[in-house]
Amino acid sequence: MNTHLRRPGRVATVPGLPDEDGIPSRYVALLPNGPMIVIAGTAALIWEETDTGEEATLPARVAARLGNSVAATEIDADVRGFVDQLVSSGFLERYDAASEN
Amino acid sequence: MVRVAVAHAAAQHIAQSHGIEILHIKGPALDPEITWEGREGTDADVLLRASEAPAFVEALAQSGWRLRSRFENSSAFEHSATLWHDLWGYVDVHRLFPGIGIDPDAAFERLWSDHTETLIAEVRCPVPSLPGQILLVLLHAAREGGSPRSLRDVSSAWESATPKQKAAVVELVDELRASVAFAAATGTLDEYRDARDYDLWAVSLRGGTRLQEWRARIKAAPTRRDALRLALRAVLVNTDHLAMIRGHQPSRTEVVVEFFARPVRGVTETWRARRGRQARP
Repeated sequence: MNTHLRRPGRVATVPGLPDEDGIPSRYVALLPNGPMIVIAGTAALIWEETDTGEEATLPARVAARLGNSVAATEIDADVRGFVDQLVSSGFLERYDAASEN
Repeated sequence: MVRVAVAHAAAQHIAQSHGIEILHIKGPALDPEITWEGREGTDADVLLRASEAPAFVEALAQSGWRLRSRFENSSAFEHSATLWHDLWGYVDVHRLFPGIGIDPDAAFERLWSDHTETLIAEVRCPVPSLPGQILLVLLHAAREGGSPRSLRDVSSAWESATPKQKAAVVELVDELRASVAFAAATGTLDEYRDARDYDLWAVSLRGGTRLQEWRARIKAAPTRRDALRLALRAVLVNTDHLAMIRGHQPSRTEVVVEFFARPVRGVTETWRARRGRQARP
């Protein structure tokens, strides 16, 4: 299985202001009735990377975005925990890229 | 801006799940080519078939939106209903666009026929073609009475347009029978002095008293029956507007007080306008 992540059709997002590290925040809203959350800092980096490749390699992609100052293994649990939260709240969904091609 | 963008996205989501086609107009729906930096709206505007407007308002109400102003109470043109959502703010549902003379559903079909799409809050939203967008900006500006904002809108959308774009807009003006309002926006309204809706656009553009506005509305009515309906409505109180001003639904006493206050305000405005004219050398 080639699991990827994507934003479901019922999710709207709008860019927000950058934080002190220059990472732009992002407003993410569940349609049609909310809630809306603000994802900031490294969480915003994780969000940006979610749909750029396989879910399995997401911690490595985030580590690369952080300039490899941290190892993927160090942030693996946090990244996966955050993604699980987003999936269970409906802000992201998992799909099998192989079966959709 | 975040809220307005998400309101557009929410309206699109609701429309799509109910099989209703809507066009997103104004604000973040505009092509960057015809708008200007720093122009911010306070609500999300959408246009749809007049025949589907009640169903869409009902669909919005089912998703947490509350009706703040009914179509009949929106303006001299009775064109839009305003709804409020605690998270997304205001949405303005247009069942017709003031200034367009043909049947509202036929006008929507024409605008829909060559629509494109834009991403608002990363949701694909249908928008009119570029000439359609330019025309709607101009017609809206004509209603704003030459405010600095509307002058800038006209400048961005019309004066900066290419000759080819202008020709496409003029063609659309003819198709939609929008000549009088278009003339009001582009500074040639007086060429249409004989038009039935000339007074209405003159009041919209240059301002006027309530009495003048009602007279113009009645004169612009397409049929005698519509004129009679408007004449009867002229004496009724706009309870939606009153509720917005007072911050709550008006009580019976307030409606009665307003009923009496309105004619007095109309008289006062007429008097002030006359006095102003007489005082001028």
